[in-house]
Amino acid sequence: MAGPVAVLIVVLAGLGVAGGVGAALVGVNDPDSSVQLEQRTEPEVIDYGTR
Amino acid sequence: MRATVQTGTGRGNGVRAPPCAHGAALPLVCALLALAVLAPLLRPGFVLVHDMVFTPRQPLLPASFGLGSALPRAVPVDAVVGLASLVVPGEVVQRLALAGAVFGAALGAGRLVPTTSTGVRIAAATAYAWNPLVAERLFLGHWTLLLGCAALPWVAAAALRVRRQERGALAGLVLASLPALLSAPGGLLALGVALALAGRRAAPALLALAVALNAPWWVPSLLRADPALSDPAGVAAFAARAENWGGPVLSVLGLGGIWNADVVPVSRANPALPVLTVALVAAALAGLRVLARRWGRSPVAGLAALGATGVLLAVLAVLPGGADLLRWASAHVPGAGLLRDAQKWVAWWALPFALGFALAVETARERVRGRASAAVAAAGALLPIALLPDLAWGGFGRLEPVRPPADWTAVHAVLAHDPRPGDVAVLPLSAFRRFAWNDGRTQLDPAPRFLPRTTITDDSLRVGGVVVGGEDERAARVGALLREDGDLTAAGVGWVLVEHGTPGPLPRRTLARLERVFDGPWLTLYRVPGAVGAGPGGPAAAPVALSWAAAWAVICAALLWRGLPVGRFGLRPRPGTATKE
Repeated sequence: MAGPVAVLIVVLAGLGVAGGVGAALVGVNDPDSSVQLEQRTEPEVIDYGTR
Repeated sequence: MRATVQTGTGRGNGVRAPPCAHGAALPLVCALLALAVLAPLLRPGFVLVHDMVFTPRQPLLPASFGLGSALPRAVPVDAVVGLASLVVPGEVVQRLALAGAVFGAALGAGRLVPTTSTGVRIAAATAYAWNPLVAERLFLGHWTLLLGCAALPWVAAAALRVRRQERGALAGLVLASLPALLSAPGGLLALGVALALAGRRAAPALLALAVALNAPWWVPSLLRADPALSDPAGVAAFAARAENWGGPVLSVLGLGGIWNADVVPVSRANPALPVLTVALVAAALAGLRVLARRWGRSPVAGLAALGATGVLLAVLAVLPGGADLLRWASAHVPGAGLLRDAQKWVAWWALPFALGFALAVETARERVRGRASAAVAAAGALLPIALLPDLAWGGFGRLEPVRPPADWTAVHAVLAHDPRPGDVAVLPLSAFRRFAWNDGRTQLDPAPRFLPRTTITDDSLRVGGVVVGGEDERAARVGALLREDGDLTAAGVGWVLVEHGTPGPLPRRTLARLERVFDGPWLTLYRVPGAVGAGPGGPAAAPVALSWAAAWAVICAALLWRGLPVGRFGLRPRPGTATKE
């Protein structure tokens, strides 16, 4: 019983770390987002946020 | 049948606090957590991001006390910050507030969890202080909500003492609630936790205390001439949002799901998160069963029900029929605006989630031996950080201190020394700014908290191009006068400030006839010619003053009760046990 619980926690932590790092890398290197940045024009009124 | 109600604080009849060596470890880890999040604030300057505005010395204006024409959304926090910045610089106030929010949340949760294991306490601390709710609200600048969240574990501990009918427990509860009372949502969050844990017998006293302590914001809200209704368009704009393929409900269950995509850490797009969230929620629910064995079933059931209520409120706008209900409430029920941006109520789920998670770690730890046990505790403590690495270092660039240009000080001096009356209309007509001197971050207009006079700014909001109407009728009226070159002095406006380097339309025709008295690279101040009339009054001063007196009276009574010997006479101590209900 003890082994599977510990293994499960380690697997969860590993998944979390791997996924988090992966998502961060994709976010930083996403080519679409850089294109959007280049194409962004200054708005008339600033948005509080976007959905 | 009697059952012991145990807390992790080492008081009463509960589990004793760990020995001194361990006792120092928890505060140390909590301080490291706060440092890891807020390290950029070691540099001087002000962090100005979204709704977070601090200035060198925030003015004490009628609106700070609820006497302005707008809804008292920043009451009493504006008055408290104004008073605090009379004593210490605004930069220090900001750092104390933010560090207190993260450190206080972590330490409170770590102390609250009923365990003898320091590792489990640390797991509770990281789960409560390092999560999407903290990250997203911090990046959105909602520091008063974070202070409210930080107070909740302390409120919970105090409420458990009220439940045990310990002497002076109500006074302790009042003092534990103080950080939460800075804002309306914080006050309601604290009240919910207190009611959930203190038991039914204490409910009338708790409600009476809450009415008095929260009076500085609800009294002026009730006294407004126009009802405190809000634009139904805000329901969709501020509804909970899916952060990954798991949808908004799973995002909220994982303590995320804020409406604003701009403040969501990149790691929330982690494709493994929905599965991990289900696992973590299951673990937390299992841990709550352990908590029920230590605290008693009734308080834990109350806490779990409160958490469920928080999640339900947070996702209501995305449930079938929920948006219609909220739109109707916004249009017809004064004060229903508190349900706008309802994701904040997930704070009620954060506390049982963190406690349950920590006790699940404890259970897992007890099932392994030797080094594996320590590894499980370490993994449990580190998992919240591993899942959200981009909360570290102020979100890696999201929180960076900056210095406002000297123009602001110059305009402040002109307005402070010129005897001519009149409020200040601020342009461009937009609630938010984006200055190059703040690296183009979206930030609330700093003028209302920088200048020594009442300012009038546009309070309508744009979310993804959708305009959510404001609530200040005077702001709308002055905005129309500016656009149509109307008589500003009749509306009590004696000055117009134009902020440069930020997008937004300027009424050139109106500005052309005003007298320029200061012209800098970032700000231009105009004097409006003619005799300035009186601006519209806010709520009647007497009842508002009474509301402040009521709140202060309760706080002072609590301080006296806790601090002076008077609180130690009277009631005899009762046994530190309570009957299970």
